[in-house]
Amino acid sequence: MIRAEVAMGTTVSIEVDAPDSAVDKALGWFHVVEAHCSRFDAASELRCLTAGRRTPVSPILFEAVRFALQVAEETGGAFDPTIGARMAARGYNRHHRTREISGQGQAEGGVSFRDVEIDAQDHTILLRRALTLDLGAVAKGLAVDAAARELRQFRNFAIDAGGDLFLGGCNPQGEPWSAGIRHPRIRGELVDRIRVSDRAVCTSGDYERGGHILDPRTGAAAQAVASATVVAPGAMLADALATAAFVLGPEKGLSLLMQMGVEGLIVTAGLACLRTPGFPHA
Amino acid sequence: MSRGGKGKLPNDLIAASCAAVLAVYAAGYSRTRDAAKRLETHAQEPRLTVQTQRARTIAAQSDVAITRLAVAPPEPALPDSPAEVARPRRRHHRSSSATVGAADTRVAAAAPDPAPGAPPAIAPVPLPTESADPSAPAVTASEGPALPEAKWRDGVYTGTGDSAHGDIEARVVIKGGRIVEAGISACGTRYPCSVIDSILQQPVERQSAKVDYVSHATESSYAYYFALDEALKAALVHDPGETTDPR
Repeated sequence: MIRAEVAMGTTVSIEVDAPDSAVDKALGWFHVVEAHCSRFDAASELRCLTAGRRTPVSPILFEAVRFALQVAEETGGAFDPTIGARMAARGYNRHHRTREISGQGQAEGGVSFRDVEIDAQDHTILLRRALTLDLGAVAKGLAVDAAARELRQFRNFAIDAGGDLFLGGCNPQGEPWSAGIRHPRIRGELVDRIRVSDRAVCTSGDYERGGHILDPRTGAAAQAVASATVVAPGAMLADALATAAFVLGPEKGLSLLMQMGVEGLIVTAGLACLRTPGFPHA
Repeated sequence: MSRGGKGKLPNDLIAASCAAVLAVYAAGYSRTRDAAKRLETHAQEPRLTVQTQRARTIAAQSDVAITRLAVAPPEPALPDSPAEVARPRRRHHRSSSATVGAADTRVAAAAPDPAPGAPPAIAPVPLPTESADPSAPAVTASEGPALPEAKWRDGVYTGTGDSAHGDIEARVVIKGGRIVEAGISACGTRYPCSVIDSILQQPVERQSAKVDYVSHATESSYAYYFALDEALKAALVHDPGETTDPR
């Protein structure tokens, strides 16, 4: 059975042989995470954070922010969740469902992930300066991972949240799932095909939204990579690292993926393919 | 990167992400369900259940395609409720281009074939005898059950389809019971509708709303399909509640 729903600005589909209630619950995670982490919804918990006030937050927002800050630290700011206002200023500011403009967009010069402080003891977040968090790359992955956790009992399943995949177990033929990595420039063509089981597959590309990945360190669109695909144990990790690798560029990006112990394929702007040694070719 | 010389384990982000997911999952679905309900009240996005017995390549929305074979038996498509007919734009028929053969590597594939031996719940329109794509796999729609005649009235029909990236209005011209023209009459997506130029004529070739996904523009492809489906539904001779394209 395949079920599909619109959530988090994309189409989420789940394929699994499971009762409706279980699929409901899995899909429910996308709405839950969106309600907490959306930059586009003025009523989201994320948008309720205000500068200078230490705010107790839900486990979802806390863990999403904590992980985003960890990735930011590990990548020296190539991945940075405080890029929200700059994204909004470039026009990525409409709620996918209501089409309302989020009201953000004021440029916040010089903010970085170091302006966000979290306290793991009391689960609070403090924004030291006025800034807008963008958890896009993390929140969707978190929802995929939570949904995967929900479906794990059924062993074999596929979750697809707008290209963020989690492929659990095997396909109905009893083989590892097969996934194609799209060619970033030629429609309908693939640059590679992989076979994986119990892995998340996420790609950051410059094609879907036309240079939508900004280098947080410069504020300009990252241009050295056409697409970065990461195969990892979880979608939150895969998505964040795909974004970071995209920003870092081919060599540094690939080096990051290897350091982090995940597999990846980076297609450069010149369309050369760089793969980690263990990349799971089909 | 700033990790050089820090002596951290190479996979500490893997551990961190696992811990984060566990913490969120352990916090429980019910604790946060209220927040979801609040969103759902203004979302009101109906769900679609697709059950199929054919091998299919599902083009993931932006980047990847999964080849998989669903095992659940096909189930008759339910006619729309009157409320849904009254609000056609709310309908969300999620669809998939499909191919047969796990070795197939195309992302956007030829028109799907009905499940062999399983009667279609509603009457699909005839597919063209030639494959729309000469590279399509050997197994084609000809394996399916005999298809009845089209049931469209002549005229010009429009329909609207929405997606996460905006709306598309499709215009379909029916002449002699067949689709002779198809295209976009209004583009409300945030990306130019030219991204799906390659599939605009597929309804004419296939006599169906079943267009392929366009790699990198799957949301626009969805919207075009929904719009076509709505327009063709308006053109149906008989029960307007019938679905034009079971998926």
